[in-house]
Amino acid sequence: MLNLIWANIFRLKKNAVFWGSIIVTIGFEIYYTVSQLLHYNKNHDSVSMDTICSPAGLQIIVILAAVTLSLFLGTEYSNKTIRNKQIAGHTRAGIYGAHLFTSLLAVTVLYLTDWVVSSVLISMLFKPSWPSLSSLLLLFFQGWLSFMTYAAVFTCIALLCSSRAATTAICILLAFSSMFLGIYELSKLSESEYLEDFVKAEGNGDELPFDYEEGDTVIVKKFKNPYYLRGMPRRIHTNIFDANPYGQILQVLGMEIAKPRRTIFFSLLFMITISGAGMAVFNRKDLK
Amino acid sequence: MEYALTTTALQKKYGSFKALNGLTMHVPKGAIYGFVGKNGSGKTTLIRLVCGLQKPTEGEYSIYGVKNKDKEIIKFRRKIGAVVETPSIYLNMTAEDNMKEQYYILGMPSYRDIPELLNLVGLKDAGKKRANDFSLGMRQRLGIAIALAGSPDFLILDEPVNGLDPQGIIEIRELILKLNRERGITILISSHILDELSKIATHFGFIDKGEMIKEISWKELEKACQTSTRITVSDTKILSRVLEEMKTDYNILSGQEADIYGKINITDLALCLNEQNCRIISMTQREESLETYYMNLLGGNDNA
Repeated sequence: MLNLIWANIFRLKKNAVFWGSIIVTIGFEIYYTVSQLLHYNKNHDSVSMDTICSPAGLQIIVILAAVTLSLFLGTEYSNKTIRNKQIAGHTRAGIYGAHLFTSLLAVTVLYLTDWVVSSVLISMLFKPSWPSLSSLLLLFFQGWLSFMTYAAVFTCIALLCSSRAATTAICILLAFSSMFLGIYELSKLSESEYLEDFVKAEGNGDELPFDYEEGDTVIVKKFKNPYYLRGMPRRIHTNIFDANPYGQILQVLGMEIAKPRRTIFFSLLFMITISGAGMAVFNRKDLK
Repeated sequence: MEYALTTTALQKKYGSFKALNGLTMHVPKGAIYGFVGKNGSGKTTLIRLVCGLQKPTEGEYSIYGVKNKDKEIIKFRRKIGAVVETPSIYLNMTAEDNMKEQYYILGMPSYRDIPELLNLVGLKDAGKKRANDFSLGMRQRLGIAIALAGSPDFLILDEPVNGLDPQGIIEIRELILKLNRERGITILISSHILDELSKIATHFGFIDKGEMIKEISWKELEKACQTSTRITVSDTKILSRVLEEMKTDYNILSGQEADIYGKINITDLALCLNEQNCRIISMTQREESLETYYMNLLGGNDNA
């Protein structure tokens, strides 16, 4: 398997899409941080330092990873080069393992690039007060695990699907679906439990339309938000958010992971299950 | 006889379709084995099984005596180089990088042999060129160079001259002969271009509908295909005696009919038979090519 890993790394180094993804990541991080700086200079009070400190490029790495890995791994089928590995006497488990390792490596490089560029730029431009080292390490580790899950999923799709075009389409669709699901779940879970409204002091406040006139006494009334999830539905949505790798990335971007043990468990569970199942199916797959 | 590859009652099913139906074949060591069959007869399926790309449904095969179910087969598969259908090359990489990639896959530490291999296949000056810019023939040759990395003992070429121009066909043919003669590599070539195979193969296997119809050596085939004269006489016993005296190859078909192989002097034969009171009733010149031999094997034009 080691030979295959070296062969894949040799090919990865020559891969234009991979280098393009790194350049896009750096470019995006520079653009985002500079635009944040300009915004910060105009609105000191309304900008949270937490959001500035987060490596915003992680959002696009999901898509870049989907494109890079699906094209890189899909080439094995489009150019039929996967045969060379089998004919050279490598086992299916070895071939799968080497591709998985290469995917993890490629995504790790993208991930590290984003963190390094983002940290350097933020430190230079904002001089922020960083969270504690343990919190930063946890955020870094969780973010990395989330991308490893994506890498495992994209590798599985690329090695089980014999068409590069189909692989690319499926991986990109999956990446976007996971992003939209993450954003949707975040908005659902971010609903306030209570809403506030201004009502006149006299009469039944709930039923009165707000027609404030000068001199009226106004009070703030709280009422239950019908969209706030409670009980079982909240638990289900929280689990979906925590299990979804993009949900985990959103938590990293918010610089706070609510339940790190659970998100780490979900990441490892997905990675191991998907890779194990992928390897088992790939082992039986008829190559052409 | 030692064999590079043998298969026993090999079967491969795709759903209910039998691509290989109990195929048994023997590829002798050092041979150029022409694997002949029409499109869809199962040639590529067999190659895919031997290369480990697919698993047989039933039956077994052995590479250098090691059976496919044996764990050792992985080690022995390293003795194989193969080009299955289209050459397996990274189109976005140069010829040299493609070779280096294969060297990594094989765990070969030095790139020293790469220029020699590229030179052998006639790509000496194209090492820095991207495979995407190669012609079909050049890609085919690069595919063969990759298959030759690691110095295999057994080379499998699936339709190597498909789509090539006449010049390309000649170059591939010469390369195959060179590899067999100078490096002693056993070569299995699948093709439906009979004329091309007849120029290089030392052994032939004819496959149809996933079954081996006949395996035959070049010498046997040459004998079967050589010019013959079908003669009808009053007594083949006398004819047999005369042909023995004339030291001519023949085959008695019945009491009155026989095939005489090679060139014969008809006047001498007629005079000899006349002296022994044997009458010639009819004589017909017959010539069988590899093509007609193949057609006869498959049961005539209806099967072509």
